[in-house]
Amino acid sequence: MRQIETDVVIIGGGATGAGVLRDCAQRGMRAILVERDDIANGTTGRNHGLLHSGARYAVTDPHSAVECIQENRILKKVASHCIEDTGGLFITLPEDDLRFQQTFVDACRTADIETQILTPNEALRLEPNVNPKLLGAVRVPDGTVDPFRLTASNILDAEEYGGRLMNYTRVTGLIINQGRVCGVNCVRVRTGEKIAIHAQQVVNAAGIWGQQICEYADLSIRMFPAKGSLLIVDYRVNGMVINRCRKPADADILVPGDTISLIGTTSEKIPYGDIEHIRVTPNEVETLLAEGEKLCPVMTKTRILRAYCGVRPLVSLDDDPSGRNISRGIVLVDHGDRDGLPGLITITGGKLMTYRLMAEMATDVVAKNLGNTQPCTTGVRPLPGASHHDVYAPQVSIPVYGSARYRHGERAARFLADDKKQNAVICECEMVTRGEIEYAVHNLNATDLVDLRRRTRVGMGPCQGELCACRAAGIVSEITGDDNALNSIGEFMQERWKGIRPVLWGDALREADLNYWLYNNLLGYQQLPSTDEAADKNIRSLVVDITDRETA
Amino acid sequence: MLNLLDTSFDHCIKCTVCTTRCPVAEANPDYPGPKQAGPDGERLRIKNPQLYDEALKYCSNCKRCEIACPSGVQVGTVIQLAKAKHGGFNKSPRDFILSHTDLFGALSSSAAPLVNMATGLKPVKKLLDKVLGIDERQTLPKYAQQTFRSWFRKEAAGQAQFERKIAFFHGCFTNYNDPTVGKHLLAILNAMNIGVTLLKKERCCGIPLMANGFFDRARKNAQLNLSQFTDALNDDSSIECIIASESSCAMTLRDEYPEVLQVDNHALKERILFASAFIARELANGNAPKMKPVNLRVAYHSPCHLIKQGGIIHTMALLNSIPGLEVIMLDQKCCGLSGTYGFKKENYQTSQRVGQAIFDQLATMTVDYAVTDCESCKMQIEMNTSHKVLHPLTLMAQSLA
Amino acid sequence: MKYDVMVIGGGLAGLTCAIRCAEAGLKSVVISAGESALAFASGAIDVLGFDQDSRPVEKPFAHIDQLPAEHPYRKLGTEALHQSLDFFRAQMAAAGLHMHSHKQLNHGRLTALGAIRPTWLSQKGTHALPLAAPAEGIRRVAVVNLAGFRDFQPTLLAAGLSRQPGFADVTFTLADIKAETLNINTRNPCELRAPELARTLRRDLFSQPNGLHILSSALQKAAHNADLLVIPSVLSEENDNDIITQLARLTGLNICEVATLPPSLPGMRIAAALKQRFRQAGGLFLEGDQVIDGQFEQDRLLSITTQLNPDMPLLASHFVLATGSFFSQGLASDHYHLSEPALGLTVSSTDNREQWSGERFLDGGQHRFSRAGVITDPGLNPYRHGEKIHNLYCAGAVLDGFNPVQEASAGGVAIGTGWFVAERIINAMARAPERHLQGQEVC
Repeated sequence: MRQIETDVVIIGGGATGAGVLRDCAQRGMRAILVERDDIANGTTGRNHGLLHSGARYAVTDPHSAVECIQENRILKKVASHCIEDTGGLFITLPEDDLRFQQTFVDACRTADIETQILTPNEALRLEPNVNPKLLGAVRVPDGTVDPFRLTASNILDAEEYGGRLMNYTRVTGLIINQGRVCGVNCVRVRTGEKIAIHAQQVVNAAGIWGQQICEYADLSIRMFPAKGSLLIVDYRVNGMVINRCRKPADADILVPGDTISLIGTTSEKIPYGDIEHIRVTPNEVETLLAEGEKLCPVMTKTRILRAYCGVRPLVSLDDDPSGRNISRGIVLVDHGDRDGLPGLITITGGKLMTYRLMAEMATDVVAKNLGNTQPCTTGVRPLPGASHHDVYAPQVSIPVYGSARYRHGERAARFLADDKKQNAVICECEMVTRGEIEYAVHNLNATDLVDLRRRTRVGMGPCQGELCACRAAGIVSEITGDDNALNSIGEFMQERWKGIRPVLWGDALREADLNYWLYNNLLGYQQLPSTDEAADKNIRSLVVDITDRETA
Repeated sequence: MLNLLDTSFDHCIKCTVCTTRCPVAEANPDYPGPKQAGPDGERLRIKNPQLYDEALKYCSNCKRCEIACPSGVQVGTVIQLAKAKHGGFNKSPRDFILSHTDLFGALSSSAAPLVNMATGLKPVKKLLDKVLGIDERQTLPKYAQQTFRSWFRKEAAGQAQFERKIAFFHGCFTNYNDPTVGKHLLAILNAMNIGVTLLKKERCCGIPLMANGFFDRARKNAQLNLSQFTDALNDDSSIECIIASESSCAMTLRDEYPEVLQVDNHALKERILFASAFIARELANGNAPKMKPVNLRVAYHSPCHLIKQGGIIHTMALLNSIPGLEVIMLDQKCCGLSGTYGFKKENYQTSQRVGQAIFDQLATMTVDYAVTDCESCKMQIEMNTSHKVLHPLTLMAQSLA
Repeated sequence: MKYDVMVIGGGLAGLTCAIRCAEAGLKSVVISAGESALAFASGAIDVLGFDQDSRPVEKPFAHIDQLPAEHPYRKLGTEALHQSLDFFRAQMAAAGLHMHSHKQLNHGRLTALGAIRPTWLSQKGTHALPLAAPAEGIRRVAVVNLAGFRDFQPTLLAAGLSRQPGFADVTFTLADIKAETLNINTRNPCELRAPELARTLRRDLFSQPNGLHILSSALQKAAHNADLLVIPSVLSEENDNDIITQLARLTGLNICEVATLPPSLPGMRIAAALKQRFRQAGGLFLEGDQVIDGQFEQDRLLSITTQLNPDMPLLASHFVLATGSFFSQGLASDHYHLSEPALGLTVSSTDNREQWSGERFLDGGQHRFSRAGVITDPGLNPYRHGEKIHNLYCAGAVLDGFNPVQEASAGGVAIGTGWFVAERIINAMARAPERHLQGQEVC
């Protein structure tokens, strides 16, 4: 069995885990992040993508609100390429109590969240698609964040400081020696290879799956998963985040993000055993549409691209099985202190946008235990892509350049080449070039189409993979040289399908009808014999460049 | 930023069919094509207006993408509105001159012989090319010495006797450049016992203005025209409808007014008709003029904007009613001129490439005339082939007994 | 304006029907809302590739009688199906587009992902693989792309084909012929779509006297004496696809053209050929218009109104609805219902949206939406509010009772039902000529 030795092992490649990897690496500690699937595959990749100003919590949870606004300001500086500072509105509809607005504004002021009260006309001027029946609105510094690219940027930065990501690697147990946790046993999911990683500190950042990690040490962290569903709308119907000015409730946030908008979230407690089998129900779809319409009437006339759901990692503060004492805040446990099992830390709870703070808190504990005294710099150093250098790319059109820059900041210079082939647009809906795809495979740990989607938005547009899946798979196949690319087309289309099925009507049904026809009829995908072996084929990838011309 | 004017791009299922029909993309490699310029680009422009692509200027608004789209995306309109919204128009002096046809038509027509001679001279054309950017290879239209309105003044009294009447929207070309078609329409309708009146006032339908970015002017024209239509229909109960003889005018009055200019015409739309639609309906109801055989063989070119309106069937009905007329339909392709588009230096080559297939097909045919109901197509075909082009109404007028 | 036949839908089914009617002397018009599914079709005609248990079929005609009663093929019968395909082949041949069948058996069509799909008729240039032993005589395969064309992925094709029985030991060579070699001069050659690449080649390469030789030399060099040379179908828009014949002759190689992601050139060729034949037969083709309503009187359809001419109903003696499936808007859906939007005909459907589809997208059982469609009687007449409409017929993918993807039967059903409907109309017109009704004859 392969043995690896390092200072810190982090379990879970969501935003928090990635943040810990970055923080450890920046402070000079050797660290490895182990993730059983691809990054941001859990809750990180299944939420609103809302960069809270904290206003939403100002009245009911002031502590969270303060955390939010502080992190909001930090992230706008260090992660600017993953964030859009759209601003947000908290609107009061006829059925809401307008008096709540003052309570809301006061609470925001207490939390140091800047607000501006607007008349309905002013709100409509700023956001023409907001419900014209609104009675009033408050403007707050909400924004949107792309959780995938945020996570990928953290990992990229960590790698540049010596950190390491091992994706598609599942933890199978903790290595416990003389009452200490000193590493993890894991298995490479794709090859079955067993690996033991020895480290002085293990950080459990596995989100909702953290309960299982603790169980490897016979510890209990009780999690109470809450499922939330969201809908994605074909295009960006709102320019600012739209919230309801009332106590937080279901499905009352409409968030713009890149080229789309999304409405969410419903909330339903589910048994822990169901976390791998969640799906969006027709009732949830109806609820989301109904609530979305109240915020933005044009939303219901718009094509719904897909639906998805995620699980919130709500943690119990004690062992009470009823879960009455659930924390919605950040939970940090040093199991040495709490359970007499040093070497293991759990960091969980919180929100996407407080990931950096959570990572800092966890890394502080790790550093203390390892005797490292370097200060935390994650709130100050910009992530790769967040520096504001200009990128010179005259050979590509503005839509292509703008999209690349939007996603990767100044790092776009690494793939916007002077080469026509590299600049060919592969995903036409989101303007992803071949160069960007190759960059994601070489530099951002993308191994297949689904990974690619998270880092570049390939397949996230209206065509849902129709044109780009084969093209992108072909490129990945050329680079990695393996046979998996063909399988990944089916996996990718299946993954898209999971989100389309709950909203299969109108143009979504037309698109699915077309894709089904193309993939199974024109391309005969279902006729391909399946294969599990990493094939040892006689494929001579002698890409013969025919450049000289022979005349007759 | 939002509150979009046309959200039909939302229906695009990325089938790529529009890209196979765009004549400009085929002729000009700098144009990214209707899919990217239209529905793909719109999602990006909504996210960030700075993602507007200058290359949208190459779109000629021929509407072939819309005709081919199986999803109902108004691709051409999406592109036009994007150009309007994101500063995609130069509005240069040249564009002003080419598009303000009321103004320059009136001026040129008053000095027609001089203007016609000058615009035929090589040095003058070279000068226009250098100074304004109007390609010297393009034949410039001639102006009529007497406008159609002026001619009609003599006819007006005689028209009053008819029980049934229509109001004729003559448009710029018939008024300033060549009144022939208007005169022929009058003859035909009279032979069908229908009289012709003119609107008290009319302005250019607006299509050249929209094509060059002068939307405010176009909107003003639209509002005036519609109020004139309303007045005409209300004031005189014998006036049944408004008729336009030019394909692009009819399309603009009926479709572009609401879709592009947001000028509401729904109360009037069913009474604004393209000439051959009106005549076809009359023929179907048994009202046909007495006609004698013309004994001609002609090739019919379908104007893009007429296909877009669903009007080919009516022109076919009209042509098929003329005795002794053999009609061969040319392949349905764009002629390339697209109004003011082909006059511009930067578009001339594209315009020629686009129309080449039609020119080549006509070159292989032995016909007496080419026939089309778009004056822009007529100019392009006459300039690039040896065939003379007649309007269907002219053929019908010729056959009147 | 009264026509003998009005065909709604200008795809494979609609045009097959319309051509037959026009050639029989009936005044025919086709109204099409946009381009048809032929633009994304392989250009081959599938009759029946798989039986109802998804097993590959060698002799499609022998299976017809085993199909369920509501299957369109059962309504035509085997004989009519044969005749319709002969008719279609003759039409295509007259347009210069030659289609081949292979010894009275299905043959294999190689797809762009290396799958082998059973089909009945193929165009020139697609090398038919025998279904029983597709790899016979093939030891070396070359997969060659042109100018970095992005809609063709040689690595994927090779990976897929190498999984097929008999191909495990075949040697694959992959190559790309650079744009400069082909004289291509355009903004970004990699972004050209199949028809654009064909036009570019025609303009920049084949217009040169030695253009064809340049390409054939390059192909030979890339192919390394392969037994099979696979290229994307990007060479020619022309019906006769003469380029491929010449290349095969010059290179001495077995060349197999493969249909690509849309727009698919071989499918477009068929569409162009059909429109050409229809026009030559005197038919009128109206594009860009959509039927929005029909005026019915008891069991007859009198006229239809379209989006562009809502005030001028179009009259005909007989109507054919060949409007296609969901992506062609022949069928429509909202949150709860599947429907036929043009004329409100009765559709096989359930109101439970979750039942319209299966959990697995590509590799599961059938999706109900792929099978759904307008319910018809054995004569392909549809129903509306419980009433059968006698002068209205349905053809093609709009029909209920078959799954074109699962069965590999799209082309055969379209052609067969289109032809069959035309026959019924021609017979009906012969029995009761309504053309000479007074005052109705106009154009």
